[in-house]
Amino acid sequence: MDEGDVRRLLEVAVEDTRPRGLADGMWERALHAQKRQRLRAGLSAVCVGALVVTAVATTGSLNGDRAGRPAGPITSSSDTTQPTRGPQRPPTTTFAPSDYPFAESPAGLVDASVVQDLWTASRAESTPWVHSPIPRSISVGGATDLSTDPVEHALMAVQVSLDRPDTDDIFVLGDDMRWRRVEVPGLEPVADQATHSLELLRPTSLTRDGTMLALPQPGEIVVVDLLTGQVERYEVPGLNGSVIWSADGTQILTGNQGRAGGRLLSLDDGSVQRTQQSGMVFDTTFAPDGALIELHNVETTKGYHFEIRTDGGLEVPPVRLTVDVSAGVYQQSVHATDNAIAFVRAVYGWSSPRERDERHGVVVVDRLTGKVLAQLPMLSDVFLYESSPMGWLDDETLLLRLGSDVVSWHYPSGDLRRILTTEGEPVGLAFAPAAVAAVID
Amino acid sequence: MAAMSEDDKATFTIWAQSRLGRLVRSATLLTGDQQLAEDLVQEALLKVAMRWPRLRDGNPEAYALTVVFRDNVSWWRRRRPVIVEDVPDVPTPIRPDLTEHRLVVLAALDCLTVKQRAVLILRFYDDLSERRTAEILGVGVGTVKSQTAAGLARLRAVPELLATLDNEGGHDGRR
Repeated sequence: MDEGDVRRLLEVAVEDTRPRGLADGMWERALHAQKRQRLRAGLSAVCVGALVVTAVATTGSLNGDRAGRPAGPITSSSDTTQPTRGPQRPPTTTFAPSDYPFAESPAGLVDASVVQDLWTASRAESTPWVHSPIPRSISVGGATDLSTDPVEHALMAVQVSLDRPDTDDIFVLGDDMRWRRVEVPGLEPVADQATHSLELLRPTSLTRDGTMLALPQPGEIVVVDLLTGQVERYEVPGLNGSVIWSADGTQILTGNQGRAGGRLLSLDDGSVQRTQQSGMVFDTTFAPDGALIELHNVETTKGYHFEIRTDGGLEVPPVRLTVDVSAGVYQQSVHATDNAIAFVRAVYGWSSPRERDERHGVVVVDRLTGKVLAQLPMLSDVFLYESSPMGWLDDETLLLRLGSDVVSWHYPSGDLRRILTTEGEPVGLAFAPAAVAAVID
Repeated sequence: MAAMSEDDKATFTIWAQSRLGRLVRSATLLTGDQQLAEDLVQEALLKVAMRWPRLRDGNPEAYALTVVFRDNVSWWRRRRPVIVEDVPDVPTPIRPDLTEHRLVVLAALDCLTVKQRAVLILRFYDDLSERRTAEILGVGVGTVKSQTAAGLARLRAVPELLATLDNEGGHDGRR
């Protein structure tokens, strides 16, 4: 099958598609939308003007009036003569975030001091490299077989499409900086419940220490012991779109983004339990202290809702955490420490590119309060497909995939260091954060 | 925001009517669902209309495709499946409104990642260059090349697709 065949197949597949009159009335709708935008801009200007007037008036009252009289001491209301020109005015109406879906909520306005410099593709070139023996690019040529040449710890795993067109191969990089091919016969493609295909190698496929690899399969989970190359298959009902390792590497939570009811597989005895997840769970992660953290809901104007289950999601009612920043759609990439949660915030829809660029990015929030601790904004072009946290290197340093670069980000200081580039475009990528942290300075 | 005149309305309407079919068909391949495709195209047309004074002398079709393909990523990530106690592990039911050829092609496209699917449709249905495809998707040309190769490889591994080609006499046996 060549490119010409594909062209013809696509052409014939939709040749009988007859669209309805979608263009009818479109011009009038556009005019109406423009009017709404102008009105909104005018309202914003009025609000800004009101705020400026209020600020000037306040400044005047504190610093003295135009006649040069000095400001008096700040007094309590009981010391102050009340105005006599009628009732007090109500407070100035403030901008309502629900009027503008991509504005920040006033209650959750992100402190500007935690918003760091915009990440762009060109910025990557000037970002210093981390000191480490990790190869700066991915080249699996010369890989040996894992079964005959196992690793002590794997730093990362990649899924690449090689010359054999129908094969997606998985390789791991050992802490001796050599690649091994992971041999698992009979792997099938995986898909989510909407039948969209997923990469077989999930971003969370490796244990934190890089000794085990899990691959989702329909109806089962394949676990590879990277220290021996031994492959075990565990029966787990369902589509199994994701695999998330518990902190101690003895359990795997599997499920699908956006659906209720995960399954917790115990590797000790192969038992499978349904978790008590409810509602729409967009992503799940285990924190080092064993807590199960679920991203439950994303509402454009009302922020993110996490539920934290301290018993691993089985019995104890969860603690709800609301992160009150205006939210966008979500990408599967939540990672937690005992104190913080990192995730990707993305905005699409009716926003302009500029609005998106200012709000796309990685966010770190306090696990107790939901307060935003740091935000790394990025251009939507960098973000669009492949930018997400890949795990925590330590309590303050996050491993990030930013477009084609993998970097460490010390979020309190904003220090970014390149670790490698993903030239060659691996289909899937996973890291063992503790193993990576052990080999970088 | 530039003012929109009656002349703009006329030129936009002519442009939209002439491109509508192609856009919907491209979006149908992208989503596998004509209704969703029409929703995406409708939003794209509205955005084009709102920017028509600036776009009309440029490349409005590229802008519309950009909106369609990027909003599709948005939809794909934003989708909120129906909550059920236990999702049955069965394939998507066959839709009788689709022809067999279309079913096979759409099923084969479902084997691709979102990015591979987008790249193949822009390259081989919309007949765009690698560079233009990269611009629309907001990725590098290298990504377009690698995803094209990976996507074609996956399609070649779909036996039903090869059988469809053989039945239509368009396949010379190469894989």
